[in-house]
Amino acid sequence: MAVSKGYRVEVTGLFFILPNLVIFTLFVIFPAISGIFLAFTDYSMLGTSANFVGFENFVKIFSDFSTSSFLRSMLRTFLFTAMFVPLVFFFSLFLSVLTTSEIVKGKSILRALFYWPWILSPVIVALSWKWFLDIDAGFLNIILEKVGMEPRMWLLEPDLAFFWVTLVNVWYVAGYFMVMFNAALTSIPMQVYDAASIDGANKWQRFWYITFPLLKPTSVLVMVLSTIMAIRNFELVYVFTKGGPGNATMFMVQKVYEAGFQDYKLGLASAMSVVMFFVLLGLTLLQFRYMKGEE
Amino acid sequence: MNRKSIIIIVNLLVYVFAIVYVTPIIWTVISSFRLEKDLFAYPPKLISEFTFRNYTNVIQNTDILAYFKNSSIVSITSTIITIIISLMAGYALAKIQFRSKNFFFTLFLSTLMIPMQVIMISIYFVLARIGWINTYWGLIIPPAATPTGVFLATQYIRSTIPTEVIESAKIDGASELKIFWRIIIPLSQPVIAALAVLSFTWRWNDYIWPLLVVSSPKYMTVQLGLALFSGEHTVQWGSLLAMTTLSMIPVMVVFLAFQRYFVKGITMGSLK
Repeated sequence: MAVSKGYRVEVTGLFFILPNLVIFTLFVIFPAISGIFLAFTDYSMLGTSANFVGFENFVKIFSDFSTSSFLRSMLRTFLFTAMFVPLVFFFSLFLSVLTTSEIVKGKSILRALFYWPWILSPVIVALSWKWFLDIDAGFLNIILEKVGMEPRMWLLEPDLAFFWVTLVNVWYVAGYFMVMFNAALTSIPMQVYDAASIDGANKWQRFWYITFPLLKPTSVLVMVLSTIMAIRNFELVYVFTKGGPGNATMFMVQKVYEAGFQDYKLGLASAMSVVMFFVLLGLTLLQFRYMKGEE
Repeated sequence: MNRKSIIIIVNLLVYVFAIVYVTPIIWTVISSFRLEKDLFAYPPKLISEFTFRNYTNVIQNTDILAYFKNSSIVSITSTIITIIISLMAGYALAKIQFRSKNFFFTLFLSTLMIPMQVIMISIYFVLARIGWINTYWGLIIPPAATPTGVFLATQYIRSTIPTEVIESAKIDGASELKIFWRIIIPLSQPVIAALAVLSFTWRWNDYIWPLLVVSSPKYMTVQLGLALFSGEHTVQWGSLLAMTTLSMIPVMVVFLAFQRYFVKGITMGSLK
């Protein structure tokens, strides 16, 4: 009887996880595995059959270094990540300190204001900023004109466009990470600070020696999550600048998307995806290891 | 300077900063109530006549109502499915002692590690093969299974619903399904609320998934419609701004009504 009871428990368990299991298998696990196979073929949506081509796609990826290449978009993504992650970290921590400070009044209104961008869609954020930076009618240029400065074509100069893409992305996510920091900050018991004050620690020392170390788990999480966000970044930039001007804001995911759905080179696009996956995995592992080593 | 005036100055600075912070959104909303000719007037005007013209234009001349209908159908149905299947999995993973449990829990969580952006090419094949391109099925079902949902539900059920309650219901002869409907769902209100809010927002705001599934105007969602409209050669900014403002409203309403569940969702799950 014990066997049949165990069997029944097993079936019941499987029954309850079945819907998720089927969907995950069909739309995550299977595509992940088949993507690896696809990466070694020359499959295109136009052709009918897929031929095995070995490492040809990867050779193609790693031998092309023109400005429109995947490798260059990867470097651009790294540069973006290298700016995005520290900016997000310090900026969201800054917002969090503002919205948990004792002397600031009406904190919930402030929090809602800073969190506002994050509830909107990347498309809305991109369009709002595009409008804000518009050459003729954008708020920024109107103000510049009013104070007697030259209006600029913010999104038509490559360096400026890259700058705005980074800034807008930081602006978009800062409120989200602020809430995470807030949860961590407000969970630090006041007694710790009181004790430190009695020992003569000033405000700055208290922040540096108590708050900062206690924030460490959250800090690690914020950095890992923001790195992943930076690498997979696509929708906002795609609507905001379309990767332009030229290729100045062309990042990895957009390159994969275009290779697959505009050039119909699905084998090549899958190979790019595999490279991207290893980049993501590598960076995340590296970050965890670094943070552990620091302790 | 005394402490009181320092506090006032600090607060003033913080609030000015906060207003500047949200200017791009505010400017979008304000601009949507201005006439197109005033938007591009020279010299530029900061203040002009208030009008609903852009809104009537966008409702009469675009498919925005159809986009709203599609987005509503997709967001609401997908959210309901997310809640049910996440709680089902959560119940099994938290309270049923089946042997393969740990394996599946790990498997589900590891799907978090595979971002959609990395597998979108091969997802497209699956969708095409089962005929879900340009269907509500394709828009609704696949995104409904979210590892975050499973994770939140499992954690919640494990830590708040006592096993004794389930055991005694079993002794009284209740079936597992009955336990699920009569005990697990009613006792899971907070996590249901958090999931509802998060899931609705994700689906409403989603762009990349509908971009893969939809090519026919019939199934366009709000985000796709917005992006499509903004990509046209001669962008009518007046209508676009009205459309953008309208499409903010559902998530803003949800946010204002269920603010605490947003925060709970983030701090409980920390992941999307």
